[in-house]
Amino acid sequence: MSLPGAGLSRARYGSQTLHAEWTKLRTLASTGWLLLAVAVLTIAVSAAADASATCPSGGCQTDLTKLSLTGVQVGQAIVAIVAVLAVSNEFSSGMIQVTLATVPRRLTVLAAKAALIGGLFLAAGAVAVLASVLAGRLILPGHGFTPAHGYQPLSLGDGLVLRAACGSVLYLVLIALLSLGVATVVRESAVAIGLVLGLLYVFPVVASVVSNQQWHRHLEQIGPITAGLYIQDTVDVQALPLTPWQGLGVLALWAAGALTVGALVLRLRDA
Amino acid sequence: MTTVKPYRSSAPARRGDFAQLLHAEWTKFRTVRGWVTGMIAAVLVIVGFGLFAAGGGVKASGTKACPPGMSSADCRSTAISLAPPENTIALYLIGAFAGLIAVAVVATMFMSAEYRRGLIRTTLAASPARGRVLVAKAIVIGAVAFVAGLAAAAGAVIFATDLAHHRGLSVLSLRWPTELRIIAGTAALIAVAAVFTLAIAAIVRRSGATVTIAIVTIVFPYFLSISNGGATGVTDFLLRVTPAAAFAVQQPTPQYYLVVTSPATGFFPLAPWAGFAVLCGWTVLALVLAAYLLRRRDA
Repeated sequence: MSLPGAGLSRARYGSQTLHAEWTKLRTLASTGWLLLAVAVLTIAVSAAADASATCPSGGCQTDLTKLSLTGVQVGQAIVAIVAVLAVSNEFSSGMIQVTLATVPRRLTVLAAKAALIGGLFLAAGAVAVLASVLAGRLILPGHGFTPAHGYQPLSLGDGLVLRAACGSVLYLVLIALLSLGVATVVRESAVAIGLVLGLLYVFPVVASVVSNQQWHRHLEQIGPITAGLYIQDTVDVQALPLTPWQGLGVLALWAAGALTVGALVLRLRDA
Repeated sequence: MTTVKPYRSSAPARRGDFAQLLHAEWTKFRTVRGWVTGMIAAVLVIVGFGLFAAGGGVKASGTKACPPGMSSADCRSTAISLAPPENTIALYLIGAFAGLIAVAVVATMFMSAEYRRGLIRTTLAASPARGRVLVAKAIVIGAVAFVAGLAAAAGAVIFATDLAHHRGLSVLSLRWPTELRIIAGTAALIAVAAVFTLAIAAIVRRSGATVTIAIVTIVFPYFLSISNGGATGVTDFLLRVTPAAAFAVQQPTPQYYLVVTSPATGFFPLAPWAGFAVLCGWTVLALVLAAYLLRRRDA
């Protein structure tokens, strides 16, 4: 007896795996709700942040782009759940054994999951981020951020705003991939989500108590959240410890690291 | 022919003995290695962060005074600087949030594992009074989390203060009731947060969703206030209404209406015990809803 899919070409094998993973993800009721939650929560929190900001007549230094994308910080928690559940659900229900019996090339399974989750959040993230920028454009002029104070309405035609918006979408995708990698390593959803959120929150909190300037800088440079969100900064960019794209690169390294360890563990361990 | 004598528990068969229920839940907790490890990890994390804070030096950006009743936003813009940076024991409890995440994961699994493995049916068959099961679970996880939290907070403060003195850093000594409140309050915060998480787990029954709800409501607003360098606008509001308000028990100097604007010590819009009461209120609500759903739904 030959292995399942032995007669297929590599490309066809890959596309069939992708299709199978898509079916699994699509037919779970929770996936749709959680994606909706990512978008709604991101937009709502961004709009709330816009609405609570004020610019007194004396002028202000607010980074409007960053402000209008505040919701990404909440949305990422839901992103982490979806990505973690895509893996840990299979382990908790035992489905993983069927999956790996059908697709014995384990890395193909992980790659298909990563591609799907990444694509899903590229779409959901784009909706959430675009709507957040739009909310900022509509709400902020009513709170004193007017041309008289030196603020133009947010527009994607502005290169910096466009960079922050596109970068925020990529940020969500990378958070999803990081979560996927962590979930593949620890398998248990509660532990995986705890680890991911702990990893995200720990660097800024620790950096806040470190007085040594150099340590402080390094902590901000290696933290996935601190470095990754430099992509949202549009004011005083030169003063950042890393350039925005370098910062996103740091997060990409975290995600790549988590996925690599996940891939190794998936290959080496019994499922 | 030998007759096999069936096993009978030596405990007298009594209906409605709550102590037995507590004992059963304690056995369930104690015999899962991962959960015990998780609690130990929480203690180590809190102590480790305390040592790191003392070893890496502390940063406090100055102390400001606000008249009572002034809104925090006004205060931030108008307050005058009073004193040089302060270094109090509250800084050494910076790891509480990380320990709390570990405890929340354990508390989640303490409940959700019952549903995952189907053990809940055995549990409810053995003790058909469902509300009592929930209460017993809450007492066990709350007590374990309190002991772990107290050990962690006391350990972090003692070891980190020692390290700070060793490095020649001055630690501002607070009045002893305040120090006691900060340490015991941190333990109580962790304990009540564990019970809150348990109740959420009983409501949603899914471990992933539970952990996320617990962390996003308890830790995230606190994190947001730290990463934004103080409570402003949205964070100020969140630190009043979400369970994260309970982190106010770590506020070092409430009695002088001082606002320590150091992001490290955080700035909390509510008084210490008022903030803690917010978490307790949410916990009671969640427990009531959990008990109601547990009784109404099929397990």
